[in-house]
Amino acid sequence: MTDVANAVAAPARHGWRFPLWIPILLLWLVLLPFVLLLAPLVFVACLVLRVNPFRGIAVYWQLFNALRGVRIVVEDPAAPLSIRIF
Amino acid sequence: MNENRKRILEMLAAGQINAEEAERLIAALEKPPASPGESAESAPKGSPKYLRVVVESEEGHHTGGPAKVNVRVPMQLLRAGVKLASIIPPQACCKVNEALREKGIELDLSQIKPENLEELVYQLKDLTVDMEDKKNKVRVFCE
Repeated sequence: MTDVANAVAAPARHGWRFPLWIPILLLWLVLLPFVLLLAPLVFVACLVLRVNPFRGIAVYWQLFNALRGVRIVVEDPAAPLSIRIF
Repeated sequence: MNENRKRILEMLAAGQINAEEAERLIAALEKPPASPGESAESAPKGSPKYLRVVVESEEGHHTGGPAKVNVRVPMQLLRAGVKLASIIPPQACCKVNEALREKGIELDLSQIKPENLEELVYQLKDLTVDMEDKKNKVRVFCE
């Protein structure tokens, strides 16, 4: 399971780095109210489109977990950026 | 003697299999079983794990100085994406197929299965795309 996302923005112009470690668990806690609010709508949409909602959730969960290992690094003197998902 | 090994030797003696086949079967028997943590979906040995895109530019977007973009995408994401295709409603699937056909791409989304994808991913290990002009260089490869 994806544990943590690490984003580092380091504008060299200002001479400082801003590393940000985001535990995915915290992200889940923040998103939980929205998920609960949207769940009935998603459920109805799945039924209308004849898609098994549980299968849909399982597939999206797998997709989310597959993000582990993603790395995006931009080495630009003006706007360096690094995003890593562990 | 192991029961399976005995059966293989009996088959060899009976002429049902030749020596080479017997050797292969015995070797398969001696192979250690897969570890419990190893999932069925895990990548086969030798297949690439990541798709890499590296862009090098002599002139960055903001400063005009050299810039480099390095993206690494796990192949697991590709596999999960194919599973996502399996939950596309049939009506939408038909529309996508039609749109692809109009563009000259003969592809049926419903026919894309994870087992077919595995072979494709394995073949990607030899893929390298290099594009280069005076100021920019793009490289796509798998590792």
